[in-house]
Amino acid sequence: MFSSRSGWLNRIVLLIVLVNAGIVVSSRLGLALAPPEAATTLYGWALLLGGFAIILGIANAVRFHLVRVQRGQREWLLSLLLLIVFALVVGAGISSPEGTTGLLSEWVFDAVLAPGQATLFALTGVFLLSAAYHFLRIGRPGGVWITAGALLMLLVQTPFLYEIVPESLVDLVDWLLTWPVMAAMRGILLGGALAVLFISLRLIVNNAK
Amino acid sequence: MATSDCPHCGYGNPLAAQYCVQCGTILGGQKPPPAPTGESADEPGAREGEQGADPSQPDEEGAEQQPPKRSSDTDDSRDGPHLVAEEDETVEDAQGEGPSQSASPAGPLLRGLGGLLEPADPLSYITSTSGADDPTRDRPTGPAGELSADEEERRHLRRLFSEDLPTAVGASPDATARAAERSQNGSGLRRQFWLELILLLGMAGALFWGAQTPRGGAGPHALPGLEQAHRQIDSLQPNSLVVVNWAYDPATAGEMDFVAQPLIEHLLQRQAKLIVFSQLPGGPATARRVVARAEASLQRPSRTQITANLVIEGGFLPGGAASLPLLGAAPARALPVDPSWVDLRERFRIAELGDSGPALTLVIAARAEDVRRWMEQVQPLNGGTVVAATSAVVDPSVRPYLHSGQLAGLVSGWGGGSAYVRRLERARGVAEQARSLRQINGLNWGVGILIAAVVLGNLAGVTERRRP
Repeated sequence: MFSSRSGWLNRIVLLIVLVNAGIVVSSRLGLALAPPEAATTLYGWALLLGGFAIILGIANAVRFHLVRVQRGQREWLLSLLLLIVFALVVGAGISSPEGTTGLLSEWVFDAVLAPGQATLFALTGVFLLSAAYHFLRIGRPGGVWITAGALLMLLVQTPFLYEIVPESLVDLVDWLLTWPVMAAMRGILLGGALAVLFISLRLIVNNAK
Repeated sequence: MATSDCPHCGYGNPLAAQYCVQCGTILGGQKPPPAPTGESADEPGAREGEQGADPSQPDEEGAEQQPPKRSSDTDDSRDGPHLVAEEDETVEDAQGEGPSQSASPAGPLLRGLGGLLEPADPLSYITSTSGADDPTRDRPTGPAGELSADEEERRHLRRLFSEDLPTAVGASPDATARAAERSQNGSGLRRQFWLELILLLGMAGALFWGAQTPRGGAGPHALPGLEQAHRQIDSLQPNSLVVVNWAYDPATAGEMDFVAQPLIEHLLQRQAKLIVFSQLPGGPATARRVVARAEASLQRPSRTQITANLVIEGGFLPGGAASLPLLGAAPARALPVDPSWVDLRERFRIAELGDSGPALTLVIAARAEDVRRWMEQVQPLNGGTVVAATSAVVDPSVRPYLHSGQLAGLVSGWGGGSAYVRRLERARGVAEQARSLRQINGLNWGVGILIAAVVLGNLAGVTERRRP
């Protein structure tokens, strides 16, 4: 039954999205199609939806891991650990009068979350080193440019090298960033914006036919 | 009804399902048994039979069997017999328009501009890796065919970008192509060697001659934009409202703290009122620590006092990019300020933001998207002055905004933060100096290792290519 209605549901959802997009765009362009308060209200709804989506996501994750633990699926112990930690952190936040700035919440952030995130992100250093070894090679297609550019930036952005490289090299890097790199980045920005515009049009045209 | 278990959650899905009904994992959809002879799968009778067999996914099989079909075709088939008749009429109209329309049963509303306005099927972007929107491409239909298409695309990408991309598990690399490439590159060995030598000589020369004229200061080169940022903050009047978008969390705090802290210090020096918010769950806590460190470096009485007097904690703002424009249109409604932190007078001042906007907005971001979203979705709404503090890798991506004048200042990377500290002209404490020294040493070693890796990699490449 659901599948027989899904086409109409899709169209209704699409229509709602289109109307909302029209209100926002007309508000941005100063057209009189919709009062500015309408767009502001829509933004406010987006904010509420965002908050609700987080709650929904958390509930879904909890349910998913609860099912895994119940069924004893593979690595269910990790799911159990996740649920216990989740309950502890939420409990600490709710039970503390200071909320997220309570002692336990702050400790969790300082002792678990921050080091964990920093460690995971630091792993990119290993990949960076591997990429520098394997891919910054002059013999590769375009490798001369990539290697020269990387070395130039490394030379200028490194404290002990920046102290000793010639001023002209520093000026060269600034010039490269100001002109050729800038032109390329602007082209990418413009191309990306146009691509989004036309993909949106194509999607709308496809569904409206 | 035959089912296949989802590899992720184990739910029994119909064989033809592209996605798991339970968890949404992409299943790929297995090809159904062939239709009886003389009856096409697209015929209404066949569709009814399929619907009877599998009501939850009635038309996915048809969509897979006829790749050039567009999503609206599948939508039509879901809608029932009356819409099938409507589709038939459209087919006739499309056939009447000419041979170019025959590929698509239902003609699009708009065509032209080199395909820019060709109808796009969102499902094709999800379920297929390439060629879904190209009716001229002969796409394979079965699972094995899809694999071959993937492999073909992989080969094509390999040719485009490099020859050493990892191959699929179990796939053997194309030995003949590699041998041919080696023979082609053989003549270029000497040239590559000299290029490496020139680069190495340049670096050695810089190390040797550059040491004769040491430049003052203790940090790397700061890219342009820093002076404008300093000027903007320096011109703030006391009690000016400054909105701070804290768009990084502990993952990137190693670099970003060095960029953010000097700017926060400067703002506190100017006695600006900071309204700090973040769209990352870990952002507010990260901001609290940096603000506390900035406060400590200014040797103010206590963190509580500075938080109460100069910093209004906005907290976590959910909704991502969709909710961001509310900050430009009605910031007082958007900022999730905890009322227990802010007295009535401060809340009134936040409400003023809607009329006059902030005196300055500081976007502290580790990713270019956060700066870009602000510049494109918020700044046009309130027209406020924006200064960005970013990681070094973001700098080239947001620099166009600086040159166009949308960004009033840009401080990027640890080099920018270090130069900004020198501009503040304040005496640094012992702990701060030690921290800075550790950062300098770490950066020196890290980049030294990277340069060594590049050199060794090139030497290894030369050695490999010299082998017969």
